[in-house]
Amino acid sequence: MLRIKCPYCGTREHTEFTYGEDAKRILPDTDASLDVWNTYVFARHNVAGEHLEYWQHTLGCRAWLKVQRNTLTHTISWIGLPQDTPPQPEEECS
Amino acid sequence: MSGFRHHRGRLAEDEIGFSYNGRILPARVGDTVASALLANGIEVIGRSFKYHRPRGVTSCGAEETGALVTIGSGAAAEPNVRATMQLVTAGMQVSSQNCWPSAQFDLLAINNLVGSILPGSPFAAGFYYKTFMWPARLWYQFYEPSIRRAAGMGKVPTQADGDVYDRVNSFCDLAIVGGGAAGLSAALSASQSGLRVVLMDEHASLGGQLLNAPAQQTALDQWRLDTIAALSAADNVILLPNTICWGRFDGNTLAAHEMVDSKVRHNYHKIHAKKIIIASGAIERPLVFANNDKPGVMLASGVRKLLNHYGVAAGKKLLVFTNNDSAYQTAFDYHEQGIQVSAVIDSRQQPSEQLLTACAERGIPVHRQSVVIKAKGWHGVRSVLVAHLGADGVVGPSNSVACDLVAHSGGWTPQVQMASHGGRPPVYNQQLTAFVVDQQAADTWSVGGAQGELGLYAAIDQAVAAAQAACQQLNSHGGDVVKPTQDCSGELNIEPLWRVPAKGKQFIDIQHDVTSADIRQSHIEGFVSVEHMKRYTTLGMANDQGRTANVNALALMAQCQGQSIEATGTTRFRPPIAPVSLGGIGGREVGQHVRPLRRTPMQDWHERQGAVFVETGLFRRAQYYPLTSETIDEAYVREAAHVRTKVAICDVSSLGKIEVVGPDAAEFLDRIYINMFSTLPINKARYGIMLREDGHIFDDGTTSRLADDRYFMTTTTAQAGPVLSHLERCLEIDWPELRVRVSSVSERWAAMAVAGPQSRATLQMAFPDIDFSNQALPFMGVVHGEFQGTQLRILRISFSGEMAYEVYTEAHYGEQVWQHIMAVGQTHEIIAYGLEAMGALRIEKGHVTGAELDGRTTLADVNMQGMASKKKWFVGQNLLQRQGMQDANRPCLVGLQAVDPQQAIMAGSILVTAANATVGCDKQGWVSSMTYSPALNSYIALGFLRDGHQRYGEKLYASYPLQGINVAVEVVSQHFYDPDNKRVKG
Ligand SMILES: [Zn+2]
Repeated sequence: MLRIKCPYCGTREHTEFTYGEDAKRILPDTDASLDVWNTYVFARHNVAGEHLEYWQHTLGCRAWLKVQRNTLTHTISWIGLPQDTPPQPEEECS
Repeated sequence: MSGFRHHRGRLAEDEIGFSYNGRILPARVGDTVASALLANGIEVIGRSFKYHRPRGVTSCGAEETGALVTIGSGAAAEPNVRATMQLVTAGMQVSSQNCWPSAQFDLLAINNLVGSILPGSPFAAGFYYKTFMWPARLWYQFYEPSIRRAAGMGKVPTQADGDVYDRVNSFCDLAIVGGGAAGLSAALSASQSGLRVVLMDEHASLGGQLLNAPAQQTALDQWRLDTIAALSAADNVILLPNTICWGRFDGNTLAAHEMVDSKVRHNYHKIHAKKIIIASGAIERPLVFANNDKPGVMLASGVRKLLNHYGVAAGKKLLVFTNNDSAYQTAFDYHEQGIQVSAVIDSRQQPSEQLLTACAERGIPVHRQSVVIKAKGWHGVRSVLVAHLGADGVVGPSNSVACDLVAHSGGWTPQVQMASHGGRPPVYNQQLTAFVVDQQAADTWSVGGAQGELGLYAAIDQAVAAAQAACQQLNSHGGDVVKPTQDCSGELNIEPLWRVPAKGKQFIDIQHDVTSADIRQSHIEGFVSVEHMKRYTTLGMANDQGRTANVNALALMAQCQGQSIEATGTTRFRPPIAPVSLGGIGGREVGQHVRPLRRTPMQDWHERQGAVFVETGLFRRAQYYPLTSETIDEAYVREAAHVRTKVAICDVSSLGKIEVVGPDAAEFLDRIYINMFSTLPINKARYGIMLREDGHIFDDGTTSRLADDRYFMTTTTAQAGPVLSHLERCLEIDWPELRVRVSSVSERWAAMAVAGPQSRATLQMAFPDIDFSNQALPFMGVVHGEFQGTQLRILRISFSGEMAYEVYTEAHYGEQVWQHIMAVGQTHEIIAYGLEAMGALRIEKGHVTGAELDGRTTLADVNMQGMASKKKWFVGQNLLQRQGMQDANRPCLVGLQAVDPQQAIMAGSILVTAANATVGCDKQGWVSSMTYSPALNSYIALGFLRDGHQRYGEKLYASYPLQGINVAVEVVSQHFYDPDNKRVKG
């Protein structure tokens, strides 16, 4: 059972939240090539380890949050707002 | 009939009555079903899963493999309850299962004989997979029904469960799993810190193995009682007996199941613990010899607990069979109570002198280096065959030894499931001959028997050290615990005996009827991985989860493979570790509590009118309003025709409604929608389409501009939630620079569509202060007003294709406004119309809904590519350019009209050129929605067809092969009715 500490609402069960995908993707320019857009929309790293991802507090304050979660242990090491960056660069195993 | 009540044990004197297969039997308060049945001399309790062999009680705990019963009857019946875990209550109904006509005399026991005559069939290993490979039709006609009758467990009731279940969310500093000596010690230590402690134990009485020892004022029992008293008195400790902890999950969450059996039947506890101590103990392993499943063959520890705790002697003549020291105590206790002990059969060469002397003093014969090769008796055990076990592993000639109770012990298996959950592999420990978990999860300690520590003092020391460490990490101090004055060393001196080397049906997994021969068979057939062997033989897949079977099976598999048990490895443990009722997990979240009804402000009115409802998401929308004895088809056709000729009103409050506000609102909507909204004048509405990032259509709806910086968006009922999340995501993540706020106002506005040629006249009468003329309120115009102090927002938009208006008003006054329009509209013969008529009207107009916009369609597929603006960028624009999205061969939206107007077209039909669709025929397209059109007096449909636009006038067949339906249709434009849109503008 994941428990997520919303910066606005405090610690809540993950059933109040909705997973919102990889947070390391960077929105391409509107005129970027089809390949770039294709990669942005469809390509994902299947990370075994620290993963930066979005969650929305859908049944709470509805804020979108950036969450650093270890996909192997489900440990959440950092939570911030979408424009924040986690304190240490996360390690990625691919 | 060999068990009997010998003395009081720890139970109360009070007698209660319960029924067993219709007979009323006495029991003591505190008895389990198992102890009560044994006390009444009942030996055979049920029949086994595959072979229908007689089965009785085999243990005293959660590891029970034989005594499964059904409790209660009718809707409250609960099958496959372990008789050893269920307390008897007054008047309880207990019945045996999987036997016909009775447990004593079961006709299906023929399976047992067939199984032994024909090896490999019908119930040997892998029988599910290979025995029934003959013609498939035989499966339905013969095998499946007969296996269903023959194999299986109890019957699940088919009625709805009327009992109440509950869910408890709790939080604590320290959760302790298991209330044996280790768990109690950990709790006692932690209780002195003031931290919040929760201790769970699956049994009604706390104490674990301490309960196996005699009750009469012994040092062990006194310590147990004193400790429980201290814990009960502590405000910061919650004791949960009758509670099985069945899973450990992420974030130190434990799931536990409490058998309450009062007003609430079961509680599901979700426990969020800062620290966890696992003290789940160890259970005894059976020895593997022929007929070791016979009633009367029981684990030695269970035999001992029955006598000392429940006061029940499970037999009159005990024989002990062991490969370690622990089972001797059972013989001593029975002897002490004056029950005959016929012999101890010890497979070891040299049991300790101390034990041999103790036996000699009591006159108990010990057969060293000997094994039981077979239990004999018709239903229960009446004698065993004992033979010498040579150093070469070959048994000598056998002698018969009389007994009616065999207490056996093959060693002890730590209960590592809890420690192992979350992916921590158990590792084989040679000295224990069992698996333990070496690496503990964060914030978790595993102590005592669960960690392979069987000694009493040592387990207590381990538990107290863990409790103190946990407290320290929480900045507190766990206290010390005074040990009982008497230790139990727990020294086993075990010599492995994985299987008695002799013939016969030697059961490994008694509950699933898996024998040592099945393990060998799976090896011969090439199953190398433990996980595969498990699935092939179904070992460990019964409701005891193979607790007693696992280690023996792995050892035999390793033997077959000629390798060590370490190399063979073990299977992963997954929750739940014990049977859990679904009712408990659901708690009170059943029926409307799991799927609440979303009511529109006019819901009561529809109900009073006798509307027939249809579920759309969480809403129940009025589908049609039948007149007396009207069918659905008659009703919707009448309602739709009424809209085309007069005026009618429809509740559309379920639409999603979102306010988009801020200086950059126009820019924001330009990015979200494919068409322009920045150019939309104030008090005008526009139909908009939004795409997903991948270029497919996401949703459509009408959005109107209320002010420069304020828009009122509507979405479809189904996509209201996803659209709001999408907008929020874009604003917070992608374009934080845009000064826009979005908020859902779906619940704030009631919405009703007033449609038909008389709609203007009706509304003009209803709201005389508002000018409804074409000049003041043209098509796609928006006007604001008031009705008796309530705000009105009226959009002149049309889904039906008639002159129509959407009236929005404050939700609380929705019904008043609706009733006012209905009252005033009498003059124009207004009626209400439902979703079905709305569907007919929109299909006549060729408007798309969820049936067409199913998440896989592009703009071109629904002939809307012209709507996409070329002057700006919008979400989805880039990937819309993909080759596959632009493929000219994609089926596109067309209209379909039945050649015989009265022949209904099935939605979901495929479009083919020949009258009879055959397997593999060329599918040209499909039908997405259909209706009977009162305007055209014909069945019509919308569908997707390859090269659709070039095929108007062509005759095709809408074919539904599953029901043998073929309907001739003509391809036409999707705009069946008023293609020039004259009527909406009138
Ligand atoms: Zn929140």
